[in-house]
Amino acid sequence: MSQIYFVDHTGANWPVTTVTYKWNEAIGVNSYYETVCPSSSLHCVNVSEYAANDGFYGLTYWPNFWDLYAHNLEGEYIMLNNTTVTNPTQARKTTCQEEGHVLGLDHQFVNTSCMMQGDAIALGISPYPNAHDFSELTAIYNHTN
Amino acid sequence: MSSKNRIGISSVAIVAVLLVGGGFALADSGAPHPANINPNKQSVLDPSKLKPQVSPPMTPAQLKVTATAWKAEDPNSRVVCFRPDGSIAGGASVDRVDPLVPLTIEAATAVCERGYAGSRP
Repeated sequence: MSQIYFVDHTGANWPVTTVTYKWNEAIGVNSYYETVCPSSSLHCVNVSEYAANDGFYGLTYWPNFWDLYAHNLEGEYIMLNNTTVTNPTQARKTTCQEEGHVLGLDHQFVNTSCMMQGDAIALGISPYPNAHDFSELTAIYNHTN
Repeated sequence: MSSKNRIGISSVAIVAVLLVGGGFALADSGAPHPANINPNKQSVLDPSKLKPQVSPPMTPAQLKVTATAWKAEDPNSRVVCFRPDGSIAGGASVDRVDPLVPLTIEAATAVCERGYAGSRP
């Protein structure tokens, strides 16, 4: 089971709250929304915003990558781009994708999942996880170590 | 292509104490559940049972091999950043505006500079 706290430092444009609740529906994932990390002994992931015309909607950083058991090490954080994201659908899709990366999901290539890259409006990309995303998370967290 | 089945669990091993039935006040209150708690998955975190997860860290050499392989799986959407001394500063996964265009070195450099000051891809 994964217990993770998404610590929101973004403004009103970014639906970190609702996206966190959506990922919480996954079996094996307990994701919580916070504005301050509740405890240093908990797994907190900061979600922040920036503004640059750099060709990215969002980024997920892994400063320490993971250990030999492929467990993420502490320090991951998310950056969401206010310059390239200009509508609520894209904002939701990008937030969903970056949080999905933190949870262990890679990109998908079907537009039924928020894990697909690109313009959510032009490509008709769903701003929500799909069934495959949820089943992958269940498989990922179906262990005890 | 499907999402990769990589484990991304917290570094802190957590033993969750589940309270079922009528023992959990929130479930009995009838009041709306706080938005960030799934009523079907109620758990109580007992701080006394928290313990750091003992997982062997990777050596620098192992990390370099792992990070390089990770980047190679999706080179247009993954960046590995290196410090001036050659050690790995970290990695990044990006959601690109145009994922069909190869990731340029300039764009990758911007990712590294934003995340790990002084690092380069």
